[in-house]
Amino acid sequence: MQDLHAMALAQHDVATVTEETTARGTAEKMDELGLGCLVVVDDSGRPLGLVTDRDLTLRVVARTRDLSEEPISRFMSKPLVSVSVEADLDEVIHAMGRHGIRRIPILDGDTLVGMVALDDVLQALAVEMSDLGKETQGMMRHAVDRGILERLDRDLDRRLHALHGRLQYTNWAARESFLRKLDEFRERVGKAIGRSPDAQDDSSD
Amino acid sequence: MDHPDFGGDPRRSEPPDPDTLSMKTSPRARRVRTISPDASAQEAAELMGQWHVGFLVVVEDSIPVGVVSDRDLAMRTLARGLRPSECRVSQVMTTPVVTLANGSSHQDASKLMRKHRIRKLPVVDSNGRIVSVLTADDLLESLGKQVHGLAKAVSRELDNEAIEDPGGSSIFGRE
Repeated sequence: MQDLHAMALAQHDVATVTEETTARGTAEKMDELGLGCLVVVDDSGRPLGLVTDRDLTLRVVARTRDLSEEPISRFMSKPLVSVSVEADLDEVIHAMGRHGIRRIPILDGDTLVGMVALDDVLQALAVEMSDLGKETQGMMRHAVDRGILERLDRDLDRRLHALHGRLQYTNWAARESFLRKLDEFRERVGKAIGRSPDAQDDSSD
Repeated sequence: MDHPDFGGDPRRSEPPDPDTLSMKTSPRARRVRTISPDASAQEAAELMGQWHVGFLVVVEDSIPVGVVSDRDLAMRTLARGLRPSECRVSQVMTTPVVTLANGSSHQDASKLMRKHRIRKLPVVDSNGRIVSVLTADDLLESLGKQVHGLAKAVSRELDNEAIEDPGGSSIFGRE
């Protein structure tokens, strides 16, 4: 995962609104597109900030004054936290963690070229997790030497630990997928360490 | 961190009770934040900000009658051209509400969430009264910890086994 390029998991078609768009217009667009997050841009398309559905709720709906016709630039989060088009995945995850955000726009200079969502990162991690489960079970079926066992242990520990730190920023799509993978994994490992009587059964694949 | 392992000593030879593998609902469940169906959408949004939550259970006499998320509030008022202070929570909440019986296993909770594609479940007692809210985050966290514990148990278990050398190849082909 460490070598994976951010752009490889990025969504390339990023939804934007211009800074003059009203709060109401922004909400309409989110509703239409089924999105919870839009990049706010100026007239020349340069990204200025980010606005989420929650921002609208806390900064517009929560006010007793009617702010629905105010421009979205008033309610967006800025400055925009972004990564460069060269960034690798670790850089993305690190930035998400540091700023407590789940989506990061990718910029090539001043141009918006993509957006990485942590759920996409998690999907990739979930696949890796499942592979790890399969490998673990494979290992259990065969006699192995101590060096490999120790390495397996270290690896599991390290990967699970890393996953743990990343999970708190995920959203539901990824979580659901991840839950499934974890369930699978738990079952496999459970079988492998002999919790189930048919621990050596191949039928689980 | 306060969490159960996955059924005590991981080296036990007896298969543990399947239920001990999973968290019971109550220990991890979060404090519930509720609101009346007669409150306004604006008030609901304000409370979400104050309480740092994105989800409220709408209750009448402690019985859940709906749920409302931060996104619901913006999409069902602002996006429709309605004034949040003039909308009642009952107009923007999601019904019917899916609830989880108190004491259910985490597998039950996870199944229910997947089935209804929701990530938060109001937990109710046998009289249908609200007790707490269980979120996907709670489940994920407990699962993550269980997996972590299992990873350790695997190595301990294997350390005790007779060992033969299959050739010393890498476990993880990608590395």
